Amino acid sequence: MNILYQFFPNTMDKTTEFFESILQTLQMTAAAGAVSFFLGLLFGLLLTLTGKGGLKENRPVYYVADKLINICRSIPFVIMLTALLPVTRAIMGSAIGTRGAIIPLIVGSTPFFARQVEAALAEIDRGLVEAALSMGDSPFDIVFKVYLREGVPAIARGVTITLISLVGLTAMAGAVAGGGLGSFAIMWGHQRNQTDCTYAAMIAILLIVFAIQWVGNLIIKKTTH
Amino acid sequence: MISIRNVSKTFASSSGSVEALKEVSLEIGEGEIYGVIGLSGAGKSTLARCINLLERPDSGSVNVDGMEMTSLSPRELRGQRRGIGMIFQQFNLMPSRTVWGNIAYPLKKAGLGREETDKRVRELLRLVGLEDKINAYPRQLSGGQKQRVAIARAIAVRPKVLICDEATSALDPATTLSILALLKQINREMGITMVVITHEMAVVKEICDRVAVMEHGRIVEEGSALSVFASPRSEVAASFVESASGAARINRLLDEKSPAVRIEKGQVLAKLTYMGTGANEALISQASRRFGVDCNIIFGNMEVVQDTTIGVLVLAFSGEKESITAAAEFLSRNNVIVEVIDR
Repeated sequence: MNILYQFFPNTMDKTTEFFESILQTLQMTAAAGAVSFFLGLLFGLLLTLTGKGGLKENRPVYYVADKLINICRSIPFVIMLTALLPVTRAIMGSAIGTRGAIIPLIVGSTPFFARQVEAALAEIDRGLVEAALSMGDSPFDIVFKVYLREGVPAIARGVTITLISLVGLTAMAGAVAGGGLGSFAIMWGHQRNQTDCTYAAMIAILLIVFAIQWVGNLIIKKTTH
Repeated sequence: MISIRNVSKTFASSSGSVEALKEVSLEIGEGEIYGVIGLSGAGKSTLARCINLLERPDSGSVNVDGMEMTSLSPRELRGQRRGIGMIFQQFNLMPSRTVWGNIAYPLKKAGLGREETDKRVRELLRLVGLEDKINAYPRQLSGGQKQRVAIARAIAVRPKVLICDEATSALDPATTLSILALLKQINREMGITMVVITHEMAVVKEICDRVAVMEHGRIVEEGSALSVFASPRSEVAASFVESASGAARINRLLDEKSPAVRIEKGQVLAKLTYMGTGANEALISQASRRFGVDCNIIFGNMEVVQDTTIGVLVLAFSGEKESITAAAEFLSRNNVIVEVIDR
């Protein structure tokens, strides 16, 4: 404990805030991650099914979805945070704090994850889809029995990458008073020059990222045969 | 069973369009093993995919078991596809499922309960000889074993037709033979009509009753495997037959005037071709004895197609000129085709 006081004097002064920040980061990641997971999966499937050679090839739908994702991905997240203020306020009732950060986080990570899903599904051998079709499967069957089953390891990889980037985005949400470890580092470490707070936040984020990566690898390993 | 009429299919690509099928027509009878042979790009795989409508023809009609495939609704088409099994060159087993899971895959749709499914899966595994691999994942199997599982999956719901799309092209020759034997056994025991797509004449020779030879999207020759093998009419068919038959070698030796086929003065070099029953009679030794000629066998080759022997012998006859002529006539009378090559 003495060593902690020696290296992190300012952080140890406010352990309650620090742990609350960790909790907020986890909350934001989990909430935005869960919503992005479903939306991204949906968009990823939409791109796969309507894309060239897809089961429900549809140029206009693919074009719109593709461009929408590209546009969302090209807007820097810090700008997105402020640009989405009115939307956030309307949906969540507040544009600041953890609640205020969730909508921009979803908008920021869904397109990224959708691309990950699209890439994961593109890895699935086209022959498997053909075999399923030859056995009389409908596109609906194929989504659940082939894409969402054979794609599990690759999708798990996409989820891991997305969650890690999401942790990064939550830190940025701190810039607009979003709470979490980013906020903690800016408020104390940067603005009040208590550098050890920045390092403490950094270490906490690193540990979260490592944990996500570890769980992700475990799932990938368990689902690859 | 399968009736394809005037089917055409064109693929559009960035470098222009490719006519994969041009007005293709063929009839396949019930219980028949029908081969479609051609070089890559000849359109044979597209033709196979037109049978279960994995490829929709641009024009023409595809009738399977009395149903016009091209006019079915998507739901009806899916139902009809369940009656048409298919196996592939790359096996296309689901990597995340065990052997059990792969074979059970089509059974779920057929409405079988867990217990019935299990029973059927075990029955099929016994048929293809892989009972001990029930819990293995496809990755743990050899190519031949994967194809056996794929066959079990394809026939699980007792289809009337089985399409084999280059099913043995990724396998070594010994495994190919064992898979072909299994297919033949299934054809005999279950009466499944089979369409065998291949680029290997050896496959046709081994199991097909009839064969269509394809080139540039057209069927250039069609007939019983025996007749195509014994007397190919088109150039492609001839080259396929040559690739699968040892008899081709003698033609090369003759063309090259190799020392192996050089004869002495007074000798006559002749090529004898015979089919079926002729091979069971001692015609050569009879000819030799009756006409007093000596027969030196320079080259011999025999193929068995559809349980019929096709034999080619190259003989050097020596003896009196008249005796040789008489011996040749005797052989001709006994349905042996005698061609004099050199004298």
